[in-house]
Amino acid sequence: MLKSKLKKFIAASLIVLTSLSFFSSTSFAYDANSKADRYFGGNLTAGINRPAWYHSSVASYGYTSHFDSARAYWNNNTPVNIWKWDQANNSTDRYYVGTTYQGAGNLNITGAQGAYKVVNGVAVSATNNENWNYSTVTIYHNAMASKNYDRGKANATAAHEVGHSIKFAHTPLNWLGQEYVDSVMRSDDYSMKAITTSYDLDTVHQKWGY
Amino acid sequence: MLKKVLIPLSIAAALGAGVFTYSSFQQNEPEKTAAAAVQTQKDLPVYETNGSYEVFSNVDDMEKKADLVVVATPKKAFDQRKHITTYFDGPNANEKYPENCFTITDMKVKKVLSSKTEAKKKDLDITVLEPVGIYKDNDGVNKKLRFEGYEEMSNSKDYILYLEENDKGNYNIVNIVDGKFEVKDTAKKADKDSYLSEHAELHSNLEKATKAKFKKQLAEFTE
Repeated sequence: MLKSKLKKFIAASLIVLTSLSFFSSTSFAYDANSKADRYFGGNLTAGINRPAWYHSSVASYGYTSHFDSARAYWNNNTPVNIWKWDQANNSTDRYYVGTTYQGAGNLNITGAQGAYKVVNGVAVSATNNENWNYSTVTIYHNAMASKNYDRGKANATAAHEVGHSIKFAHTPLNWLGQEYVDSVMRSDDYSMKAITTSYDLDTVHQKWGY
Repeated sequence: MLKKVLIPLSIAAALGAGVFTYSSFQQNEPEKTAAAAVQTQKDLPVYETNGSYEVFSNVDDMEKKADLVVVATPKKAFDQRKHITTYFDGPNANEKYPENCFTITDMKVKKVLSSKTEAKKKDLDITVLEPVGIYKDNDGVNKKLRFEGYEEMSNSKDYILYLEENDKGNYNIVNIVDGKFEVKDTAKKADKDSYLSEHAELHSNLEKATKAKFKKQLAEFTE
């Protein structure tokens, strides 16, 4: 009797283990390392519960609340939790406000994001699909001013670059046959919505789960 | 009885583990591909910044935005041009990050395809600011930084450029990656590693439309 129960227990355990192995390997399960048109591959070494450090330029140019809104946009009803921190370590994104070079740079460029990985204790550039320790997120004050950006567009620029910092790519040219995709990850002028759009929510869920 | 249960289940478990291992390998492929793409660059390690910029999806809007549309070629090789990089300080000692990174490219205009003013048609020597530059990373190594995968122009090729003049009299490329096209570009069109894959379709569409729009004026360069 005892031997029969032991057999059943072993058989049931093997079935459960086999099922887990199979389902964890299919596309039904999200995988933070995955890559698709709408997000980069690779992972964030400290995940999406992560701090952001604001450089003094953010306050001096008056963009603290824009970056706060950008973080809130991605944190809203998602597993993303980017929180402001007055310190920085190897898992902390760095937020900046810059100006394009002496007025001679390209005023059509309003924001940029660069990725970094820590190798032998030194932070060096990383490619889009590598694992990242953190990002630098920059918005350009004079470029946005030259375009007379209002609050919504400046917020969208900050949210766009913060979106890159959590591995999101630009919206595809056509997505499910739609020519216009409602997302802060559009690379052109866009005004941020009060609530995270369904496209952006879906991107979060696909890359980072629920 | 025990064997009858255990042997098939062991086979199933082994198959499941095999599928899992294969799948994990496939999911890591993009990282390997990205690393390989970097290693194919000739001189410096290459990295990208992603960003926001004014995007145009048709050539008529690009032409409206542009002060000049020209066929031009750089006067000097990339490593002989002036590279400008400014840096932000990091929160910790010995950290710095590029704020601006671009290259000043003096160019010889070979043909003006379109111009907003008559005066600009006579402007045969122009300076274009390319959104690619050289910076010193935190490990002390010089690296190339490309905005949105923008590749620098070669001084051995002719380019069609949509250009917007800035307040210093220099020119920026309208649509960045997608406002610059090689006049004679055949093999490269298929090389999707040459710029971020998200640009491939738009770039191809705009290139075809540009070459159709200026077909007569480009004839002398393509024959």
